[in-house]
Amino acid sequence: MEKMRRILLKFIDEAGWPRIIIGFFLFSLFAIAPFVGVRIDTSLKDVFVRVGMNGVMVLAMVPMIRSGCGLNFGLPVGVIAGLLGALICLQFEIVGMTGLFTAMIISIPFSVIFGYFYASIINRVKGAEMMIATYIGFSVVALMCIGWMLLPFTNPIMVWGFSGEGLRTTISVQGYYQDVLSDILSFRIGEHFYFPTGMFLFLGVCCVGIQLFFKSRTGLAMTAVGKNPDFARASTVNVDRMRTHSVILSTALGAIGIIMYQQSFGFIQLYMGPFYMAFPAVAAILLGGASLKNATITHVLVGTFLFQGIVTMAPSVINSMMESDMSEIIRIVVSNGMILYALTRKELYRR
Amino acid sequence: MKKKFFHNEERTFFFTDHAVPILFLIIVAAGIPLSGYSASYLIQEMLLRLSRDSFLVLSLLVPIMAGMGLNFGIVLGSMAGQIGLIFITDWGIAGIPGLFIAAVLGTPVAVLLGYLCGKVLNKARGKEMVSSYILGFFINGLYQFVGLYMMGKIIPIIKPEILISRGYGIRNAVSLVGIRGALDKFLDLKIMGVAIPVTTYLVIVLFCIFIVWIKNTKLGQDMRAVGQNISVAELSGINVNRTRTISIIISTVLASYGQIIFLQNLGTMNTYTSHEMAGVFSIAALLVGGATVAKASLVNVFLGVALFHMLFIISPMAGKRLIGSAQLGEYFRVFVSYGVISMALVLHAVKARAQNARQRIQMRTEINAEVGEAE
Amino acid sequence: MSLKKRIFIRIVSISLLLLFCVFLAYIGKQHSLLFDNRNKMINGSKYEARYLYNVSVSGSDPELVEIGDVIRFDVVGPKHLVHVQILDEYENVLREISKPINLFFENFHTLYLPLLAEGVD
Repeated sequence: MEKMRRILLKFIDEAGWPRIIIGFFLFSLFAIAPFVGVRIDTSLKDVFVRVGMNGVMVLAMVPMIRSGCGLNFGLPVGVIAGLLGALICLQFEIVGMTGLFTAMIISIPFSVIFGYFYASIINRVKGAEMMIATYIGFSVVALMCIGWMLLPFTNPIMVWGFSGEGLRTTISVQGYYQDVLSDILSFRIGEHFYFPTGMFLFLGVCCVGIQLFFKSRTGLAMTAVGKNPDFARASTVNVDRMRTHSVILSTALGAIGIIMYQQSFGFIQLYMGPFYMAFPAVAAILLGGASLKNATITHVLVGTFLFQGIVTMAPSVINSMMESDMSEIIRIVVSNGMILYALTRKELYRR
Repeated sequence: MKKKFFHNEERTFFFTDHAVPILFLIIVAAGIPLSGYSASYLIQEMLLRLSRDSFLVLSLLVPIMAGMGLNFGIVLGSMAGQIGLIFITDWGIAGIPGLFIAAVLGTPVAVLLGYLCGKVLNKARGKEMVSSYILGFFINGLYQFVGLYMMGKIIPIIKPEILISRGYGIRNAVSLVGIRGALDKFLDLKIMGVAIPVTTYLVIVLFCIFIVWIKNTKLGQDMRAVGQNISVAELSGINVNRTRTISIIISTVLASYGQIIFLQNLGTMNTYTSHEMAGVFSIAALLVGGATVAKASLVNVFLGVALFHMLFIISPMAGKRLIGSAQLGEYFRVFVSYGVISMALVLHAVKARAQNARQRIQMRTEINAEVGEAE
Repeated sequence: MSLKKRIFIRIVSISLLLLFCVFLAYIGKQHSLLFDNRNKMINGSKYEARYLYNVSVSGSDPELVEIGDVIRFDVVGPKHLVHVQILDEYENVLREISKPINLFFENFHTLYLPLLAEGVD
């Protein structure tokens, strides 16, 4: 009995109360669902699809956290790189899986260039990375608003009809690469349940890739830089260069992540679309157990599942119960609440 | 030897110290002729916006003094002020009495929210700005909950006109026609066709004096001590957490008054969005005026509001004339606003690290010198 | 300063502030003044709406109230002077009445014009 209590307390201590509360909340939502007319299979499908959609962007948080750069509030930089890749793919009318992977591959050089400049700023402001990352992200999105209006794209589905001036705000990817990944090996159960196996396979590959990367020499060096920069420097690791690598990696994952998101969501969102995209990803990884210094793949998967679960289930269940739309409020309160919790926790090791 | 070294360094710092306002001045100066607006129009607009927006920016000064950086939590104060305005609109109280009562109603809410904000920021030492930023979003969620689900249901509302058709929840836009211009027009002067809202300026001046007065009280001295060096302040017996919390509370309360002043000028309140921009725009304006995360003065406030809002006014027209699209002018303005904040934050962080490094080197040379003498 | 004295001063200050706010609400309250020109039954007596009225509140432009009409004036503040011209069908002025009113915290206040014409209330 005593041993069980101790194990339980240890679990609570490691998991943290917010995670437990939210996990409980999510579980109870699923329990209530059938009683208020919400189908569990539809809900599960929605949750799984959303986890696949957002997974890679949450994964993008990991490199920068590990290298001590904090939460990547500047994820929009990576998103923009991905958007450029996607737009170019559409411009040259490359469809299907080829299109999807072309978009990803094209976005990589953009990610590297953007990431490099982003990193050079991050390296100069050690200690204040998160705030500055947020505003760099905003500035880049705003700058690209101008870009979207001026860049010379010509594919008619992308630009405004009559004037031909500037890209549309939302561009559909139907006919290009919508669901191409999700549909691979996907299966349906009954009329309502659909599991996007392809997306999860890809997410799995990315996760395994990152896991292996962090076991490599560069990955270990990156983690060392995050845990103890002075020790790393003493071991002849170039701290700044590792941080730059981590930023570029995060940015590239962000680019791939937005393309994954698009293939499931069905639309490319330009202009102010990417503005707030960092926040759900940040909230998700924190919800999964990451801190400002430490992040693992488990955190990514658990966190994305919990976060998307809440964001999907709570509105539909509560809407059915109360006939009103609280989805926006729930999302705001949960995601920002999680981030606040992480920010106000006492860290065991101070920098 | 040492003195000369620092003298040279200090001179080259003028441009980097004031890079942001200088850059902004150049952009604005280039944009004004482009926009084609007349001088009198611009001056009129400027006086109007200064009266409307300065108070909110003023509320940012106190936390900077206490070393807490840019208080994105003034959004909380804005929400408190708006709650006060919702009630006086519901109770049908107009004019200056309405404004005063709105302020009285908003103050306890602002104090409570400010206290909460202070507690959160104390727990997130070193990450105050991000925390206040996120806290703003979080409380916004709660505010929306209160506004959409509690008003009219649990909180009694008398006038059905301000509620949504379903019977509870405040409308998206609430007309503040009862207090529109109440403060501005109470005493106004017309000089050469330009209307100057004298009362509003009087209120602003009053609070400028208030802020200066606070600096010289014991509380103010405590705040500055905490702002300069937390450990030293703690050793001197100052209750650091309490001082920091008080600075945030003051800031939040001032922000609630600032939002009331802002809205009485506009005349309409967008219940769920009017306060969002309070934080970002006020902070951008302050930074444009040359303030940094560690230091801000009254000059920064007014210069910043003038420059920042000047950009606001001229961008659409300038964009239209230069590139043919007003929308582009708008995007350019958004980009410049956020870019300016980024730049100011980066410059501050870089300078702070350089300063730390120099201090360390200086300490080391001093220690070495002492050791050398002792030998 | 002892704790008790401080608490006492704070309670007094807040009470004064609240009283002041009540006073301000009295001064700044918006009211809707309704002028009702329809037949009214009060206490067993019937008052017929026979005349037309020109109503002006605190110096505003006069509004015509026809028989069966109810018009509304939105005013701010407690004290107002209501100026009523009683008219016949051809809009000739028969009589003029000036009546000061004092409003407290009500949102609506109705003046029944037929009663006013008979000199009641």
